[in-house]
Amino acid sequence: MVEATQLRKTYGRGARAVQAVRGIDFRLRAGQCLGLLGPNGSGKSTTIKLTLGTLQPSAGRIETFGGPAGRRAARARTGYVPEEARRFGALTGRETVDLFARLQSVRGRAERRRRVEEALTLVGLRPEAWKQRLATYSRGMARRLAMAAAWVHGPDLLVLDEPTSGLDPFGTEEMLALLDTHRARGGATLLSTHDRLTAERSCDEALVLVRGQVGASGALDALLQGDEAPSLLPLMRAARDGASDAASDG
Amino acid sequence: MAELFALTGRHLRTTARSRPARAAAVALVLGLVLAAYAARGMPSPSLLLVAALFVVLLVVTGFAVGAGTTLPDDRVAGREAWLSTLAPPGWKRRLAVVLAGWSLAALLGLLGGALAGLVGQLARDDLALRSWRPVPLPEARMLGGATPLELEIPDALATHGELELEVRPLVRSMKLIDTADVVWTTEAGSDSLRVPVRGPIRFTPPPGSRRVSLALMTADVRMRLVDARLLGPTRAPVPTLAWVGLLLGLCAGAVAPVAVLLSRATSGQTAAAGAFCLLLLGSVKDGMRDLAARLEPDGLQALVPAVLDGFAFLAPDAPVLSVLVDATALRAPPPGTLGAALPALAYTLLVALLACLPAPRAWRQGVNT
Repeated sequence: MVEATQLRKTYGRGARAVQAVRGIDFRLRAGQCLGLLGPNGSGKSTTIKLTLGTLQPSAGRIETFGGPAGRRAARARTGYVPEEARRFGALTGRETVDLFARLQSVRGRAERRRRVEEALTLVGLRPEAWKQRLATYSRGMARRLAMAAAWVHGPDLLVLDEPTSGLDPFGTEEMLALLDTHRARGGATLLSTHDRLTAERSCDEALVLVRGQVGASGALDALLQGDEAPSLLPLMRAARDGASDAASDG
Repeated sequence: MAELFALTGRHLRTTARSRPARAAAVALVLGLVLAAYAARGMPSPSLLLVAALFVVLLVVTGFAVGAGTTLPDDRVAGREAWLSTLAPPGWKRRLAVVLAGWSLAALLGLLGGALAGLVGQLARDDLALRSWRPVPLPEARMLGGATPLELEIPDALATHGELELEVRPLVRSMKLIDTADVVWTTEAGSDSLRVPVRGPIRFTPPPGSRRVSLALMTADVRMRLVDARLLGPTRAPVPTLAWVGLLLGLCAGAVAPVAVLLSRATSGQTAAAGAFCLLLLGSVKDGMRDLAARLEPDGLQALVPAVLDGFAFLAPDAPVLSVLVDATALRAPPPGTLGAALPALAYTLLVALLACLPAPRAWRQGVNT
């Protein structure tokens, strides 16, 4: 579903050039969830943008659904949850999800209505909140709404940027249950997170990014083996140290 | 199309719920009420229409140029990046902003005009606009010359009512002259009138008159005929002013795509201000072209006509604004006015196409912006 080969992205030119992603490879298959882990500035968001096609790689290749990332056919099969989701403040929750359904080609008024209500219910938004404008939403409510907007057209690929950030434990549980449903019906998920619970519950495999490179990768169970810490800090630290060693060896 | 309508609907909703829109609605109602109140003691209701239609024009122009703020706002708030991950291509997102700005201007023009008519009707019993048809002007347009001024009335208009002539004075002596005596003659009769030397002269020739001859009987003045029209029956103010408002909205809406085009490279405020300036230039386009033709190029000044011509080329065609002058003179828009709006519609379409073109870099890279 997604395949990246020697993916590189450099912002700016000359002396001011910043290499955000430095030759990473990954593959995401149907029914799989791949976690992008790593500290701030490690290249997770850039990798997500490259996968969505809103950025083009400086070198290397990334394909989604068998073609270049970001083409229309791929966009129509993808759902994206951005990190900051309170962006359509003048619209109500229902109007926002309905807009996304219409833009992602959900045909028929009755079918659209059914899907919008189903998505809003699945993410745990109460019907009273459907009529409220997004400007009045809390961060957690906005995140649930963004998930509903990404979910409404039944995407084959979900791309999520910190999906559980700002959610209470109930919201986190509902969000993770939704990801399980998505995976069970054969959908692929690419998510970036700092949260160990989210990673453990959802991801089969993980890429730990450090300064734009893959510090560690593989099955998440294997990466976390023997690590009882409540956060991903030890894993990220180990990946960072590994990347530093590799750089000094090189 | 479904995607385009969905995006346009989103912009319309967002604009309608914004603070500037609420402020504009209050300003429109307050402006109309104030205009009606101020015009109560006036001898003619034309001042009421001047004020009311000016308020309507101001509001629709505000909404049309306001379209320039949408894309920059979307960029800053991150909505553009989010929407670019969805199926619709970037040109549809831009076209939706143009459509929203244009249709909002037209719709508000229609509603504002109808409201102006309603308020005007409530404030003044004598508010009535007359239908009219233009009468072709003769070659010789001077009243008071060696020969009488002859007007040919087309067959189709012969049964129309009152003849209205717009005249301007050319004073021959230093004497202050306000009025002059004019004799009109047709195949069926003649009469004399004492008329003001500037402004409209009205008289009713016998029905079926085809030729009207005018002779000036006052020696110290000559008058130039600048316009002639036959006035018909009165029209109901509300639908007539709604039509005037719609035409004004269509004219102002022509700058919505300009604002969107500019906003691709500038801030929202700059784009809105640039579009507003172009609309102003459009309203004086003919004057600029006349001035450019009359200037004698000399050295660097040779650039001035080119600059004037350039601005006249870039500005939208705004001949429809003449309906504003007609309405304030209590005349309904003549038939065929929509035809005069066609250049503005063509301009809207052309600039909208330019606004939809992808940025060269995005085009090369295949990014959906």
